[in-house]
Amino acid sequence: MIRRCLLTASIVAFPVAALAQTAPAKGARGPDWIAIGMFLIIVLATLVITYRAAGSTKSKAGFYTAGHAITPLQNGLAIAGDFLSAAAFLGISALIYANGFDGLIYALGFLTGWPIVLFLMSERMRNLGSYTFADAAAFRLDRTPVRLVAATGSLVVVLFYLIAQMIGAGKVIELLFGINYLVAVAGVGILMILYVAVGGMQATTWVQITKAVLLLCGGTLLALVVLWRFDFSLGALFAGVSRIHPKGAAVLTPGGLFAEPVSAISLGLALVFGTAGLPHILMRFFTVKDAASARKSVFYTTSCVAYFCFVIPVLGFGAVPILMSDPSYFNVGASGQFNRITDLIGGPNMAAIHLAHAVGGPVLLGFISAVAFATILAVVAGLTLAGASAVSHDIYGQVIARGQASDRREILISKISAIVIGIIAVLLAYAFEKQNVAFMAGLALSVAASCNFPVLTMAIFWRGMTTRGAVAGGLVGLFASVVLVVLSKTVWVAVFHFATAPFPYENPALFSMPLAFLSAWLFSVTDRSARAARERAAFEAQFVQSEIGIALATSDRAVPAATA
Amino acid sequence: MPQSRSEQVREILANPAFRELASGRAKLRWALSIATLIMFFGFIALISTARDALAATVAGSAMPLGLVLALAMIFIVVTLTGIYVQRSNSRFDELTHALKREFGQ
Repeated sequence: MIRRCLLTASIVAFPVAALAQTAPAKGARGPDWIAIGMFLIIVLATLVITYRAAGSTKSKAGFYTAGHAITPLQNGLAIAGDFLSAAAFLGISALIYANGFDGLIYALGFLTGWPIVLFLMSERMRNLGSYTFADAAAFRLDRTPVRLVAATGSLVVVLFYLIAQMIGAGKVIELLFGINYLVAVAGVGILMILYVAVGGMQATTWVQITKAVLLLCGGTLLALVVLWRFDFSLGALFAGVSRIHPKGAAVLTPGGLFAEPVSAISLGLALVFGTAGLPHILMRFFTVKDAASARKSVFYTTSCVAYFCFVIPVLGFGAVPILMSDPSYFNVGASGQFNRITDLIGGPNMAAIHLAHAVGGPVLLGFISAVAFATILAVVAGLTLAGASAVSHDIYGQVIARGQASDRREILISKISAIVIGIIAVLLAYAFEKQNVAFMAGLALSVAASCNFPVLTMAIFWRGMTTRGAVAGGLVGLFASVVLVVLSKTVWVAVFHFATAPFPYENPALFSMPLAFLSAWLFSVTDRSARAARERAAFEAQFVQSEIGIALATSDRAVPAATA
Repeated sequence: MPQSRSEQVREILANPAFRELASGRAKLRWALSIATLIMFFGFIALISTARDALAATVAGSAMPLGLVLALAMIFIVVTLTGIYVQRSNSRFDELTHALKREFGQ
């Protein structure tokens, strides 16, 4: 029983992972012309957006931030589009379909990251930085080591998240449209490179806004049709769920996924603080004109994500009575028996897609499939742009060229980086197709929570932070996350096939995050160098600028990042 | 005659409007952050320790208590962010604008 719980936990521990593992060939649909038509309309629309945005990428501000000219509502939607991945849409509705209540806790964890982003990060980030979160982290610290650590953290998060998303995307597109996995992955790769390299932040933003609107409308439409089936009575819906789900009424109450407190809290930490440390999300605060707009953006995003948290359970729970009573959605065995969760055609991640077909026929199926596709595109584009910016702005522009690079050269490097990151992501997504990649999304969130988040928050809130502390904290958080994930079951057992894992928990955040904070503190307070004294003394000027956003004109020391 | 940066910093730090802004926003920021984290991790702790209590149905409906609490949390999260944004949009932005007029370029 406990083994079974653990097994379920490992399968669903990160929705992307489950996405990546489900694609029995017999589950693939043939070409579905309505779906393909809508898919082509979306691709065409995003290419028009990209073409029109191409002129905006001549300056650094234009390329990285769409000229700081995005409105709060637009940015709020774009952040939601950046954040709500196919793993959130298909993965969490599948978790709720399979595990009921426990799946909802995942959604709550993602939502709870947002108030933290608002209270701690959004305004100060905007006041201290211009293009990437490293601008704020390195504001008063030595830019070379701090930016290298921040850029490494960003690139690790971006690459693992991107590969996990790409593998999921390839599988979903293979199932939805019946095209070959490699073609699907390469197609997604080419589109995301085009958006980023040609249209920069302007194109990425509008692809994300389009996706957010499509996802919210599509989700609402599907939820309304489902509720209509139950005469808009939640009681009737839940009664239907309890009647047919293999777990019975227990599906509406806490199950096994969060039964073990240490694992549960560790996962919760990764979900909440990982969200607050994702480089592609943090980067979006620079697209608006000031801190007040950044704050308003997060309110719109929180509202969108919260609304999504209501819609997703309706889809996940609604799929239970509607699909489980209809064998045509399952791979039925010779004896006519089928498992109502694992035998769903294409795996549980297809629950929302099958639901669209069950309640709305081929038209709704086509629409929701196209929405799922748009969802994937917007997230991978945001990740690629964040990765390219870490290379071109942090590593090339600030470390190699010491802030002296021309806009043209830095943008060129960024575009080349986007192409290289895109190609690497496609190749790795192809190489890892048959591998167990359950650890990737978890590792990305854990590094974001244990490297990016501690370095950034301590640099902007704590006077005593020094360069030595930032480097030590960031590297300890990064290495602790990677080592503990490798020693955990998701890699040690699932990838390396050892019998038992030395590290007994799924997610390392409960250990790696405090370690990172502790190291940053310890290596700062013991730092007696002249540089450390200067950095502590510079806190007050940083504090003033982080509160009111005016760059102090006359300088005892230049503040390059803040004046753009 | 332009001030040196450290003189300007000292002057802003001593400004009453700046002090009200910084301390007021810090109180709100940390109070709301702690409330959010206690709520979420408290709920996680409750799930892993008091599963049976959360399975009890709420009087007069078929909804289990845990599900009602989870849905209520979604509302609370939006309300907390709303409180922060509302307070910032009114009082804090007013102070910021006044400070920018006084000290900005």
